[in-house]
Amino acid sequence: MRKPTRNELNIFYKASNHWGIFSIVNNELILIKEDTIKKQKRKLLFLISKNLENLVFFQPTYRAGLFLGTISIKKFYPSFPFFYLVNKFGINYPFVIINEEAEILYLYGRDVLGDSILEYSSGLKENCLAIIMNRNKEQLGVGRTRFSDNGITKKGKITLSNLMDLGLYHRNENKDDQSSFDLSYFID
Amino acid sequence: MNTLDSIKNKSILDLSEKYDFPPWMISRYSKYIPNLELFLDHLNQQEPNIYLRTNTIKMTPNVLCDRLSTKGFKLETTQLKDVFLIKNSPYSITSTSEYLLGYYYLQDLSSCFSVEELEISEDLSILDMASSPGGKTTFIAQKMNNTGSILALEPNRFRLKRLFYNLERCGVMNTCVWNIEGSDILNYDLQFDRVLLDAPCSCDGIIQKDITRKNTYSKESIEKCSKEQNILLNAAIKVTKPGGLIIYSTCSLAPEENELIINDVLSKYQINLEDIKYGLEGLSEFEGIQLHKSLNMTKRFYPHIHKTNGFFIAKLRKIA
Repeated sequence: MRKPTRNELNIFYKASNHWGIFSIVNNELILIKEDTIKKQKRKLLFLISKNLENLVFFQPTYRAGLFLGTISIKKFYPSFPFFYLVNKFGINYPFVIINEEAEILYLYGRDVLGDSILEYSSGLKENCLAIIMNRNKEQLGVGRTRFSDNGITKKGKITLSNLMDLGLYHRNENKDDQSSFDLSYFID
Repeated sequence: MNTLDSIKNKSILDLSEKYDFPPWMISRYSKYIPNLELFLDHLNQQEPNIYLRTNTIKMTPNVLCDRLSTKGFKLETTQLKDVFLIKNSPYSITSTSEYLLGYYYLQDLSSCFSVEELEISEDLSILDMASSPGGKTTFIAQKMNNTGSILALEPNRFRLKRLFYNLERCGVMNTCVWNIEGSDILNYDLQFDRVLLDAPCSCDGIIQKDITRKNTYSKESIEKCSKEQNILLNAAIKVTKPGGLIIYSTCSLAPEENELIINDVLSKYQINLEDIKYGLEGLSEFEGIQLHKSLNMTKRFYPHIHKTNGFFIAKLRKIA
């Protein structure tokens, strides 16, 4: 593992700021592990607690702390744990709450119908990322809006595309060599 | 062959035929499994018990119990407050949102006892020497409230994937995963307050859950495993701080992988066995070999008695 360059750190902080958790990650130790996943070189970002500092710089370190996402040349692609932090500590982030029936379908990889949306954050724009939550406000994954907040509850229409849901782990078990998912697998 | 031996052999062959186990296994089991016929009956007829452990990093046992009950799951309490026996499942217990959200982990009760005996408090440094798929690692993390540090070792790259998924699902933040053999920890100048060695074993304790183990179980596999276990336990003791604890466990019932391994290290190091609250006493004698008298403090778990996997736990305190 290594420390990120100033440029890599800026890319990550910009994303953290966008999702309202900059103050949470700002003073924490962030490290990068370069790894080959699906035959592609990736820079994986981790949030490391102070107690792990004496272990992470040894060569056999595979993963450590909390996996935040990956960095490509100019972009940060968040992971599930990143959105977990957003859900727990974030402020003013885009979200959509869906009903129980849609929750089950969503966790099997399906998109979301407007009918099943119970609540959403104000100012939701078309074609933006939003955290998908259930009635208990637990994060189920991330989707992309197909409509702005005016049309997001349109009946009989798919108004949110499923980008990444918690059921992914199960569906991809034994399929390839990745242990974690982030949006880089689903967004070009 | 005297009359007694021939009666014994006949009964072994009868049991072997009745329960479809090789005669050599029945013969071995008769030396160390109490109520053998009951044990074989249990393996053949009873569905294995499935337990879940609440992940208290994300959820409380009461709320989890309520949520799963409303979905039709029937849970029963156990000796451990975070662990429940699943009595009834309307559908697969790994298909719930609660599972995907990391609110619980499917883990046998016997395996939870080994972590329970580790005397965990916050801010300790803990080594998990054979950690995948991460059941015990995540349990340790929750007992530490995600503080301190856990070093989890796993040599197999494929198994690492499963381990990291479980750490991520359960919200574990205090763990560093190394891709090395457990014994290679000696190459690094590190010492730990606690060491958990859930050693790779011949796994006859989980035959009820995985019937193929009946065919892979052999004298050679026992011998191979016991050699590896010996190496790993020696390394575990060396990297434990004085006053620190080592928990050695296996899901095997073979004395060669359990009591004999512990017996060997008791004479080599300044370590003491400590008592464990759960299970039946370990063996004090095997095949004419008298073992160290403190070995009765190790504990054995049997499917037909404890309703768990077959399991063995030893708790060792390093003096110096």
